[in-house]
Amino acid sequence: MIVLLERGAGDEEVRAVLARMQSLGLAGTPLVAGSQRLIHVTSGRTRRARHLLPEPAVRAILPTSGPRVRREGRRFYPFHALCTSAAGLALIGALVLLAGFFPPGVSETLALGQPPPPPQWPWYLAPLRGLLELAPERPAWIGPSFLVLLGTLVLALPLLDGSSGARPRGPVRVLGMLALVALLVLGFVGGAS
Amino acid sequence: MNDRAKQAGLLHELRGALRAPLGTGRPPWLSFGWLCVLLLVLLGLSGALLSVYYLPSLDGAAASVRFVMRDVEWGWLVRGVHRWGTSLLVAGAVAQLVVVFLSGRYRGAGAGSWLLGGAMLLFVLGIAFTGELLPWDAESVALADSALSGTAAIPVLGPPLANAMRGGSEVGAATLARAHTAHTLILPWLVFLLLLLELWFLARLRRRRERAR
Repeated sequence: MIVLLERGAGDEEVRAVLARMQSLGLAGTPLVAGSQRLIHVTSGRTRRARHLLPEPAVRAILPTSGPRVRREGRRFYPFHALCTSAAGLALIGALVLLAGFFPPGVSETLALGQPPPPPQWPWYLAPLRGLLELAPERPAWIGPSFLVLLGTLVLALPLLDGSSGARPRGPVRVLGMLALVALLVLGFVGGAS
Repeated sequence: MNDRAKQAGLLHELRGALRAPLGTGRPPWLSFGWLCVLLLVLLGLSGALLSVYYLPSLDGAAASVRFVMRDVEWGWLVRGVHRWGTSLLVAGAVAQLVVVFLSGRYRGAGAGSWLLGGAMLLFVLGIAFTGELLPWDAESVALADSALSGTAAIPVLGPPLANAMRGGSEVGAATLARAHTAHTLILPWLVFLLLLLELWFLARLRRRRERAR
């Protein structure tokens, strides 16, 4: 929190503001930036600094992240709790809009002896469908086995990459990106067919 | 220690946890993990409402879903939220896995969390797939037939897994009953259990980082 003093404020005014801050349980360090005098609030409940606004020497109060916030981050309550609630409300709003504009349907019940229509695969199974479409002359086990192998490799990633850098090791990163691109391409193929 | 002192201790702990700083990284409410937790809560609530009207039988399933869509007040909205929420949950879980991979957090102390995340994604896919079968209309039957044939083609584990999901040699009443049980009882509780374990892992990681500081 920065307390911005009026232009031309002298030592007398700075002392008066510091005394008022002390009465509010705040401590601060006077600073000079060119002709502008400021007080950096260094400890105490910074919200109380708003009571300084009626002081004639005080021009404005600028909220800043304090050293604790910069070092340790914001507290869960109230900051993150409020943001999480807002994000939850936004999510509910988005879902209600999607459900309102694109409601799911129900097709007819299959009659006895009637052949089933071609299956409508959900989008998250589209890579499997794409794999089956791309290799029509395959032995039937190739497609599902490829996905099982890919899933096993993904789960075993911590064993395959024992490096300690901030990012995945080069070959692992390239393989991971290739797997992701392959899944996306197969998904598009499966979704389009 | 008497009850009042215990309560005061618990309240103190809770207050401490709520007021604890969360670190300087990306805010949690912008992460896909939180999005997935919120979606799981929403899906649990909307699923509970839908299960009031749903009949898991060959004749009654599609009719009960149609009844929810046409006759139950706001039923269409609850089912829409449930279905779109499932799609978003799958997308969010995949996105979270990609983010963890790209940031390299799957190694070292994060390995357990990675494994749990992968297992949770599999169970979420299971929940989504079994949910597609529940209306038991023509499309659901065709999907069950096609997907279970694909599962049976996996060498070694495939045939017994497909038989277990089908409940026999053909798709029928047993398939619907098993899909319903898996969708409403088994898989959601497994996901909930894994989620608790994941939170425990994350708390342990945080404590380790704090001690290392």
